Amino acid sequence: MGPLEESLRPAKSNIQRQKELLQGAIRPISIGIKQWSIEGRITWSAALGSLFPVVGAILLWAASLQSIDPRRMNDLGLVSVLPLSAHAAFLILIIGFGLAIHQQQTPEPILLLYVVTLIFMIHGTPTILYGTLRYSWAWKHIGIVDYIQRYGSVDPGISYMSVYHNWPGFFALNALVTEAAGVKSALSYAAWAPVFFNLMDLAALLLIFKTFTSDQRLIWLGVWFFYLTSWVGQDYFAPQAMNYFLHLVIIGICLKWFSVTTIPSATTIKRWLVFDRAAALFDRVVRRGAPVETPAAALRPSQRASLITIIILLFVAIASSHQLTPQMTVIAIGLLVIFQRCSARSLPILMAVLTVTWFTYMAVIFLNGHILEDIIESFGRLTGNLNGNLINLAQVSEGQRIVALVGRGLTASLWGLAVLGGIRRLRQGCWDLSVGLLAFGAFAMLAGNSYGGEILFRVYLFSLPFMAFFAASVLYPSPASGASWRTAVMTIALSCALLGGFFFAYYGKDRQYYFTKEEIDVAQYLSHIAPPNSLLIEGTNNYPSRFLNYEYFTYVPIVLESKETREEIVDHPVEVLSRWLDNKRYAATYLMITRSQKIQIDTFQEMPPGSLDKIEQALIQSGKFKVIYATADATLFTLADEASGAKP
Amino acid sequence: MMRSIGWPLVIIASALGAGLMMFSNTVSPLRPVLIFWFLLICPGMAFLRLLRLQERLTELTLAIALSLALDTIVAEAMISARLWSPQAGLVTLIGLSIGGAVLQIIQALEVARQNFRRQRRRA
Repeated sequence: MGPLEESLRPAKSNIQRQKELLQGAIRPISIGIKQWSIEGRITWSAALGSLFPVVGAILLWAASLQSIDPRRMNDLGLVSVLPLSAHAAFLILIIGFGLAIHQQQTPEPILLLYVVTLIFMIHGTPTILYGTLRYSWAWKHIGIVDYIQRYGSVDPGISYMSVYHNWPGFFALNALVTEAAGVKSALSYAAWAPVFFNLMDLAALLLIFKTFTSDQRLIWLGVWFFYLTSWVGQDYFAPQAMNYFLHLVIIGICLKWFSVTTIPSATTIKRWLVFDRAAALFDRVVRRGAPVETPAAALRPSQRASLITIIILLFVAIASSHQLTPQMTVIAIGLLVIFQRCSARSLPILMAVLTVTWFTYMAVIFLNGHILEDIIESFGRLTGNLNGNLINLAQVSEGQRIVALVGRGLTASLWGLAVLGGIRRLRQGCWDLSVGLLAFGAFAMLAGNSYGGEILFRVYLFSLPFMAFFAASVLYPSPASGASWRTAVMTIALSCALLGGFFFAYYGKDRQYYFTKEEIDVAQYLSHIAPPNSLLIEGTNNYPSRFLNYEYFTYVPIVLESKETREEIVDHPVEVLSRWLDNKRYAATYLMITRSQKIQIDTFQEMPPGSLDKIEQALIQSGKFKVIYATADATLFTLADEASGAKP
Repeated sequence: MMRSIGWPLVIIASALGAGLMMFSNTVSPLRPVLIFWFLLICPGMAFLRLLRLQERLTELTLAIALSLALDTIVAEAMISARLWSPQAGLVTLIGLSIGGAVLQIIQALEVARQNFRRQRRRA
């Protein structure tokens, strides 16, 4: 019975309806006509009760933030300083959500409120606590925006961070936003990027998931699981965060409006695939894979043309902003087209042409210098590409070993749940071909590129929405299932377990990602006084750096030197570093040591723990170096006879 | 009718407000808020509503995505052509937004006219 017919039925008595609702006999209520029906009124009054946990969680969370001192984080990151009240706030939110989603009639705005609150609590916590921009690469991205603001162009051949000059879309956009908004720099808003991007992703996820099923419990639990397992941290102020949203929207448009209505005949498939068995198998898969719950939305020709134009515009923005996302989008849409889930058959070809055009025309300098070698070296090296992504557990501190293991465990758990969920859906007669293709399609990139040792994390991210949907299917495989209270208990228990893992995996590196105002002060001071063509020696590049006048410097992180050189520096810091700084090729030479550099060295143990402290003390005591600016968390040195720019 | 032209009016007002703030170099906490709102929603919404998708959340999602894409393409085109000018970029986006909003108003008037004719014929 359709929603319209159901709403036109003679009204039952309230008591009878209450009974049916309690027994879960009435099917999920969507926002629309039924809001005005008797069921709707019952739903809203019951829904008010669902709001109490949200309000309670927010109040408790806000109160808990007052007592957290991020400086006291240990090797387990932010989770080590989260008080019991913060954990309690998350627990209340999870229990509230588990109960709300279990009641099939909970209005969608209530579920939306839960997810938005979760996003704010997860991603707002570091932003509010630290009061500074988290993660060193976010600072470097600010530097590219600053470059565009000053020069009004990019330099594709620049020696440092040239990749961003070859895919500058995101940075150009932010330069425009910064200038138009009249704010001093992108630093004014960049710290809120994780909250912003995750909220945008929520809209795109809903667009996609609503094409997979009409069961709102499965839709919202899938979204919920997505946020509880999105631990790879690609949602900071970075091109990939914006492009991920655009990628999801393109998939959403294709699934919602370009669904294939007529599967090609068996003869046509036979003509494509030649072999009888392959053709029969393909025919069986594509026919069963058609969604049964959610028919494609009807389109007028003008709407279809407009939506294709929108997809192309979104893809142009992606292709000009990031090197990996276009490839992921081409793979995703290509698979949907090949398996007859998307009727816009020319899209993948057009997208591939746009991608290649950008690579070979706009990013040709970078292609010649970097990517071509990387692709040739890593193509087909599946295990090599995979291993390059995982840290060596023997070379990290105990805390980071736990963080890495929990991250891997969380990934394996989600994938395991996804497989189980997929099987449960299959047993209910739902083949979910689109979900499966999108979940596993991203893995094709493993064979193609190591992406600087990050490909596994990106594959996880791009497959995550679909894996999360399958994982949610473990509890709600069909609209008729999951009525028992055991399902609600399982939802709460599973959410708690996933969030526990998420806390370690996502917040686990925050001792390195958190920067103090004292560090920023010194970095800012250096950026203001240094002339172009300066040399900057640094312990590591993990500190707020390269965000202002970044092209003025040649950067030499000690940690990236050979093992012998690092040992020599630790043994004879004054001799080696004074020789390095006494370099007449540069207009000025500096050395900076900060708190977060020391933390990284001690965590990853590329040098003996305490090495930077030892170097810092030796330089201060030597008399050969002059401290030109120092705070509690950072020291800026130059050679004693070069201290003309010294701060009084 | 008012519902149909509600968004176009908001878009036109936002576009004019954003332009005014930037060109008068207003120093106000309202300026970043208005600029963010305009750049995030308006260029996309100006064209999206011409499609009459009938779903608010979907429309908003696509409007944000299209706005980001248009903003990026305009900014990217300026730096690629070495013609960087935030003012010109904003004017371009204001022009696109107002153009789309005007088309929406024309579309709404056309629909209202057709409805009026239909009603008259029935009467």
